[in-house]
Amino acid sequence: MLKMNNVSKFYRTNLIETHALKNVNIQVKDGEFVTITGPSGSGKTTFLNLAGLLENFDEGEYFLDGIDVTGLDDNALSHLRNEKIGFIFQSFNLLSDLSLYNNVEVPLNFRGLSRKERKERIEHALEIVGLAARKHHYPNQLSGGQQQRVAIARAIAGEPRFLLADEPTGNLDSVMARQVMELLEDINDKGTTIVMVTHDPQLAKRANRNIHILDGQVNDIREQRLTDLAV
Amino acid sequence: MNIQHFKEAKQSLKTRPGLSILVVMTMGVGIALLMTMFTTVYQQMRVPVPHISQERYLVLADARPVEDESLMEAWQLPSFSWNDAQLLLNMESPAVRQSINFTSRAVLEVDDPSIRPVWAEGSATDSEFFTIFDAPFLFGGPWTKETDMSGEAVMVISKDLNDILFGGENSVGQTISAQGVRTTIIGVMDDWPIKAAFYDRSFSDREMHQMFIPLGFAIQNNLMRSGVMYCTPEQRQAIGDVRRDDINQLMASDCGWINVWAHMNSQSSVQEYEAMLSQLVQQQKDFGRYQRENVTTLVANINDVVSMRGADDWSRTLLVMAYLFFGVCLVNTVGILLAKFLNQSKRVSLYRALGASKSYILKQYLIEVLCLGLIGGVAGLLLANLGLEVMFQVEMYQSDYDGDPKVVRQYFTLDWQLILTAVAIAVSSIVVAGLYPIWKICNIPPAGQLKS
Repeated sequence: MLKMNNVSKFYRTNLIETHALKNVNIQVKDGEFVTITGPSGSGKTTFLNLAGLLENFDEGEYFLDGIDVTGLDDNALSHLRNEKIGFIFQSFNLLSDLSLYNNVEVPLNFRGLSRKERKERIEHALEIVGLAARKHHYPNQLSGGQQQRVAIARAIAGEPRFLLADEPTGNLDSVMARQVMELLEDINDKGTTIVMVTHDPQLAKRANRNIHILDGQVNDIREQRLTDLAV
Repeated sequence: MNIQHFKEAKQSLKTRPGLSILVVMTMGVGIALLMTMFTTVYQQMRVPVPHISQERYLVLADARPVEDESLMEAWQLPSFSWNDAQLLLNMESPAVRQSINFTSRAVLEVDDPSIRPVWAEGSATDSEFFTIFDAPFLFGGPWTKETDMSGEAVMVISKDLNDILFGGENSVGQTISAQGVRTTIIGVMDDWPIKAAFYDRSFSDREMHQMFIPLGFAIQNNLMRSGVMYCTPEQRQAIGDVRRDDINQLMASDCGWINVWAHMNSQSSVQEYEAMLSQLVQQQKDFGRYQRENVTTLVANINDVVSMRGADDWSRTLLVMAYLFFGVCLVNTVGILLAKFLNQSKRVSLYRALGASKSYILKQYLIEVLCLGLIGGVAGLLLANLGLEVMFQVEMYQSDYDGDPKVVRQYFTLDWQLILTAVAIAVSSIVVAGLYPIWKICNIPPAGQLKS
């Protein structure tokens, strides 16, 4: 479970202080597929960065899978990120000099797994996204949709509890976007909690729940298919 | 650290290889110049006879007239006059062994007319010289104490001279003509592992003495005196040519030209010797000599003399410039590393997002800079060898190719200690240079890099 209580984030310069997020109270239950919508600059990505432990918040408290992350040092935060969170980015962020296999291997390298265990996980993840046959290819040999599937494989290879996706279909055409969305739904159906930022209202509707953020504040929460979830 | 850090470091090295090469070149050039000059100074500062120098002492006392300027350094004092040297030799101290010598030159000829005569420099000395300085012999041995002043025509030659005149054969028993006087070779010295001709106080890095003759023989045959000699203008006027004219007048004068060495193996012996030297000076003052109010004396072992002498000004100036240049290279290295690392901001941000801690990133980049430092150090050593070869050629040119290349070469040669020093300097300095770039890349906020 991901739970934020009165979390605030400020960006300060010499002249002004900008409230990126104000007193955010959000709870994402295990197995949920939650979409985050809102206009540009509303604080969606900031929320995702805080949720993914990539940035620190200034006020409030945040529990990730029951762990209070407040005051944890960098090693502990990195360990949590590696164990519990998988990231999917709009621009894929694949490393062009590494093969698909090695790209998927990156987060596993930080975990100290044996070579055999890494291999099994990588091949399984690539199998799920349907790219096992192309594991020795390089990102520039793939289409955008395929690259995003590799990024998803990288995100799920470590078997995280949460997937945080920042506009994962933003750089894809509608066909590829649909395929990626279906893939994410499959992964969610198998029990992984997904929090996805999107601008696309159609995709937002497909989630269990949509959280709307405006001016750094959570304004609207609409339940969609919460009834399907085991709370 | 684990194998993964090394893999990541290798991957990072291959990213922007141009910048990696630039770092190596910058470090290499800096290390090369630094090590070229450092080696030159270091070799000048090396003790010429390390295994015995702690217990071999140079003895000096300031017998110059009051009108002469004070000397900055005691090691610059003139040597003793013949009579003072004899007084020192006659001091009774069982714990002290002493030797005296002066530098001489002579034309040496062998009977074989096909071998050209050699203009050789050497020491006129006593038999103690060989014992005190642990001189090694290839053939034969030194003369006896009785021969010191007997005038017997015997000679010890260096291995190099033996190679030139006798083709390296055992020449003991052969005769050789020194300034037309036939002498018998009684010993051939082996290669003497000394760094400089310390025994004539020149500490020459160009050539070693080729002949060693008994004092008595040199005196009886009025052989030339070619070492440093201190005489007042009045003394010079009285004696004439102090180097070639009647040696008996020189021996009777107060000119300083006799080097005195002492072998003492305990601090108490040294203190006793210093006390006797002061007493001797005081006695001579009573006779109207040693007129300076506070007579400077020196009883210093060879290590201390080398320290007091230091390296020559030119080398030291070049070394300072080399340090400054190396500093500039390091500043450049900081800039290049910063550019190289920040170029990988996105990769590092991704690693951070996927679970790499700052310490993981730090170790990876630390390994990378260490590798760059090592490669830079090796490149620097290769270039330093080139620089030292240039310095060697310049030195030989400056000496009109008169110096012994074997002797001069050792002043421009890297030994293992210097090689390790170079590597240590390269590695430690690149770690220092890499601190800021590594800190910067470790603290890149990952979120901003991953959005674009």
